[in-house]
Amino acid sequence: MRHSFWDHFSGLESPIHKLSPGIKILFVILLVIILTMLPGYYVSYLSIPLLLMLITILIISGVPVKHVMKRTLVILPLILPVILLNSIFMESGLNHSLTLSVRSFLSIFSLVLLVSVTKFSDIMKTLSKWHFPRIMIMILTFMYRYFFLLTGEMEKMIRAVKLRSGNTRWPEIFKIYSQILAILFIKSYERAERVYNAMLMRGYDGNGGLQ
Amino acid sequence: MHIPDGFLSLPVIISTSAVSASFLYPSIRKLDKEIRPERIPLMGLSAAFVFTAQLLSFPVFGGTSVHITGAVLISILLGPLSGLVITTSAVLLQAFLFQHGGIVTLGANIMNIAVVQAVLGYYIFRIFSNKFYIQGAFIAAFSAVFIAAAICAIELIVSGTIPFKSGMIAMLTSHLFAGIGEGFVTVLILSMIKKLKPGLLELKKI
Repeated sequence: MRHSFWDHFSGLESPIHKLSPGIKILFVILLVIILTMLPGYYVSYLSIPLLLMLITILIISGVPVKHVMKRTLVILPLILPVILLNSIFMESGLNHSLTLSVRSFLSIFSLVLLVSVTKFSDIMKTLSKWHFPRIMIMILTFMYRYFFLLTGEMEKMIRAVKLRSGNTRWPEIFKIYSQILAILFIKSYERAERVYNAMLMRGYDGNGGLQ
Repeated sequence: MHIPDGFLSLPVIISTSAVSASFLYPSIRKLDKEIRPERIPLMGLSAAFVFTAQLLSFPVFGGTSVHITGAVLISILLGPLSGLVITTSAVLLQAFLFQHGGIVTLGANIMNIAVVQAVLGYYIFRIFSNKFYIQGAFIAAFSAVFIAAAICAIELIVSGTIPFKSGMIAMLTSHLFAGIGEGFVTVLILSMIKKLKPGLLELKKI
């Protein structure tokens, strides 16, 4: 189970972790908006100070640098094709794609930092304080709680198929995986019924649910 | 199809966010008023299901793999507004926790994935669903992915991120296959559910 993969280091204790989550969310949103709105010319000047600032925050927070870097680099497969397209087909493509990569790299970096220093439940509480729609918050918390369970169930079914059928390949595997997903949806539906019954038993009245 | 931060220009961000908001606001209001409490866990679990389904990579010929978006599937099962809100939640969670997509580009991503695929896909399905349930599901899933890819390409082109001709060709050819895959998987899942638990196809569509 990859339960610890997401906001793994959000439980650490540091001055950054203790900051109010609202401030941290606003800070990241502001940073990303500034990065998006600035013309490319300024981005190249701002990138070094911004990077240094983010690295300072990272070091103060005590989150392992390796973890943040690994999470930040997931952006590469998204950036590379765009850079490739640009440098081949556009004049001044290299300069342009450099600005693009700096923009998205810094944005992703700040986002990874945000979830590494803020608990998911705190983000949700802040959003609900900001009058974010109740139904969306309920869905998001359900997703966060049950995603790991469903992934575990899916992995179990895939392992079972692999053990029983050996080396099934395309195109049979396409059908088998679809069937696994169908069963997963049925299981999710049945789990939703059980969860609702359990909620009723504990006094759920159809309102709220997030304390 | 998730556009990261920094790839879109300000006008594109503002206009796509406006489109997404004008769909989301009334839908959430309507859902908030009409939804029955037992539906909320179902929507939450379905959202977790969509999220999990997107992690499963289907191996295709040549050693590559694709994953499905599941937007049309969930709309067919639960209805367009539920599909809209569920896929929007998936996009939000992917942006915040997986860094898949961005924060400022949320409006664009919600438009491409939730509005175009879940809502438009559902109504494409409805055109056919009375007579040709399975074929309708295939056409809806395929065209939703394909149209969303075209819109995504247009957003990137207008922002000046990718060049016009080659960018469009790259996006459309890659998503032609992704769309066909999505169509087949949607059909296979629906027919399997029909075989195992047909009642699930007749849930209330909101």
